[in-house]
Amino acid sequence: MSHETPGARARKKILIVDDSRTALLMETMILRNEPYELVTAGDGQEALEKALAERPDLILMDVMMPRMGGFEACRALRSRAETRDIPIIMCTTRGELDNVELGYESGCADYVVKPINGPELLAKVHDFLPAEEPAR
Amino acid sequence: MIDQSAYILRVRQEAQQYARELLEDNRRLRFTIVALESENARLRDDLAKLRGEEERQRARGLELAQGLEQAEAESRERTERCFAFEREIASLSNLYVAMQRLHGSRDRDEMLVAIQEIVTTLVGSEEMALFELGADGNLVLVSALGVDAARWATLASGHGIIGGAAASGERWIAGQSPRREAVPGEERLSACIPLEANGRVVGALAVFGLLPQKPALEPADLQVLELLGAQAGCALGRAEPRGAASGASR
Repeated sequence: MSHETPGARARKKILIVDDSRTALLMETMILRNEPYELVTAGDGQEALEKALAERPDLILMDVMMPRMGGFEACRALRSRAETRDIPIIMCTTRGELDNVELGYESGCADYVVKPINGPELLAKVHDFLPAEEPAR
Repeated sequence: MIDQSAYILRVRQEAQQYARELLEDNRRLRFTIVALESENARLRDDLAKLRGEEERQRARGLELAQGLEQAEAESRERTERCFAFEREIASLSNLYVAMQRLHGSRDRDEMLVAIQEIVTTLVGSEEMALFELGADGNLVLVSALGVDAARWATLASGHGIIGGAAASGERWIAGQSPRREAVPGEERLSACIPLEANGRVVGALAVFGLLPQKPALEPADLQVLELLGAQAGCALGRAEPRGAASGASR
């Protein structure tokens, strides 16, 4: 699923990875008014494929997913030259310190805990992808 | 004699000269005094004006301080209103997402997954049990997440908190609702919401422990749970088994 305004100049791209359609819908809603193109994936394996195909500028990654979880996907992305520099924000229901440490060890750049707080997510996304001023 | 007269004449001339000089000094001093008095008066005027200006600046400073205090109070009020709007928008977003997911498919299994995801993603719990009212009036477990499904397979209506909520049709919220006698396992209950359809109770949704980062249910969470109570029963009643659903939106 890709959301793009026809005719828009090239925008920063965010890949949202979650096996929960509710979470995908929620994160898409939070980001819908931002100047980013959104791409989604349903698990870690699909995230790898989409990251190679779409070359996103940022990845929002869930942790607990079938086929390939978030930590494993993160390590796989970090091991490939084409994707190692894409920042990854982990979105997890587990905010305990040891889980956060696991996330950082796997190569993520930041994390948010669920239930996702919209303003917090937007602030973290903006940290990695500052919104650009529209051309005058 | 001649010397004495000349002396006296000389002394008299010198005295006259001295007197003239004294008078001249006196005249100069009087002019000086007049000038100093005039300067004194001018300086007093200047001082009075400066004091007046100082008073005006002090009053202006007080006005500015009051204006700044008022502006800060308005700014705090606007910030609080912004936070309130953000909370309201977040709450409305949650409700929209919940509605989209509940009514996005007529497949029963997908609907049960959607209800679990709504509780996990929007409310913040990975421990829940969903019951439907059986033909015998007891509650039958149809979906469980993070709890022992065998333990909650059936519940007698009217017994315990969950059974009581289903029998009375009244929601139960930990810390807000009156204490009820709990059956074993209900100690971890955070909320129990009766599911309604066509004006009658058709089941119940029990939410147990919350995620560690979630200290308590918030008003927005209760709105989502109430929506589930009002809509999930109807949606499940219209749902079709997997494979039989037609025209379901994905």
